[in-house]
Amino acid sequence: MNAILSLFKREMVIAWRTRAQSMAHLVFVLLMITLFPFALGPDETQLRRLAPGLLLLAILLGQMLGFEKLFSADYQNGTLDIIHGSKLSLSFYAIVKSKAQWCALLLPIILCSPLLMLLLHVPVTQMPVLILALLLASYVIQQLGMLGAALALGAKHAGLLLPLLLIPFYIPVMIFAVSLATTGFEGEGLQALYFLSALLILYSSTLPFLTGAALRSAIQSS
Amino acid sequence: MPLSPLTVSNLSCTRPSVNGGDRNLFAPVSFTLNPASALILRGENGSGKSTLLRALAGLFPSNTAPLSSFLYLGHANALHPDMNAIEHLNFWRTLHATHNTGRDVNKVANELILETLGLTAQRHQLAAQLSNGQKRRLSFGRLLLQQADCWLLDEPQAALDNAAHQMLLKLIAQHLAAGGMAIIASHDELAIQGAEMIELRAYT
Repeated sequence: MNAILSLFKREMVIAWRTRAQSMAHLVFVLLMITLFPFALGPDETQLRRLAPGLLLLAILLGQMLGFEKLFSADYQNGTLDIIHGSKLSLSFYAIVKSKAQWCALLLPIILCSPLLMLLLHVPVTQMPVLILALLLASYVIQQLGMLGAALALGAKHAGLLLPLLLIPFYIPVMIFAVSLATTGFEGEGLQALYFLSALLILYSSTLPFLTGAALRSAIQSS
Repeated sequence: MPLSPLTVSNLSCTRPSVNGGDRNLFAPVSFTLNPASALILRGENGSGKSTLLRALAGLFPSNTAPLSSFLYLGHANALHPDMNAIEHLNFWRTLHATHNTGRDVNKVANELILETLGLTAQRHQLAAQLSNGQKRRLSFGRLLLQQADCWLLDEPQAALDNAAHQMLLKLIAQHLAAGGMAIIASHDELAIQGAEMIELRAYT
């Protein structure tokens, strides 16, 4: 318990000192959402219909740009080496890191999302279900990104490799999240909610261990 | 309880080679290291000193199991540029502490460690702002925080001034006097009494 808190605190201290990065993600999403009405035309019903997809895409693309840097600092400065040789495991580190990164990079965007929804003319009554969809989807996006980042660690062109590796896994997440957000808590929407939750549970119980293994192999081949 | 001697026989590391098969990185190494003694790895650049240490620490695949209790200090200092000295000490304590000590105890311990390292004035400086020598000194904080039978040090004296060099030798001497072991990769002569030496050769 102590170790979790202490590792989490370390990640948050680093995130706070490099908060320009969190800001960059937020600004990226904000800019994309402000530009969509210009690109798609100001038709309110159309924007409202497309809003869930646009929000998810903006968040996903913004995150993709940052995954490459997720582990690179700790990998290059040798911190991963000493975690590997300590009483904590790399999987444990991956679990804590994913929570901390989600809090630092995605939580601010989700907190600001009602404002973004207003820009896309989303009615207030639809906001809670859209926020729920974003919460679940963003966590899954983050978990998968971590595994991708760990697998691509030390690869020469990780920036090119990562999107190719991750996009297939993001497709179901997008489908279910948009379906949930547009239909709400009934019929197809409810099914989508179940699927999304199942993905979340599956990924958050297995991916940290795969991430740990990927980190270990990255260390051992350096 | 005194430690048992450490025996390594025919340790070798391989890497897949371009023309198929595996290539040995250095000629197989065998040694026996008694408690309270040190082993110095010599050899020209690229002779596999760092790889051998990494293999002993389980950080490079080899035909031998990693040591059971070790402290590995590589040439990367394991410092994050956006963390200060105190935060590093606390982080390392989390990684290695065998039992929980109170916050006040840790605070006093941190001050003592910083004093030993000569970094009292830099306690709140981010690692990015420290000089190379100061970074190296801070990384020695792990030697004071972690209990381990065998120290694996990779060029520990790099970037150190005279005073810090003496401090390093003193730390190693204390560790050996307490019955510990050390394996040190180094180009220079290190003034460690009774240290054995192994010359590594690149595999031909």
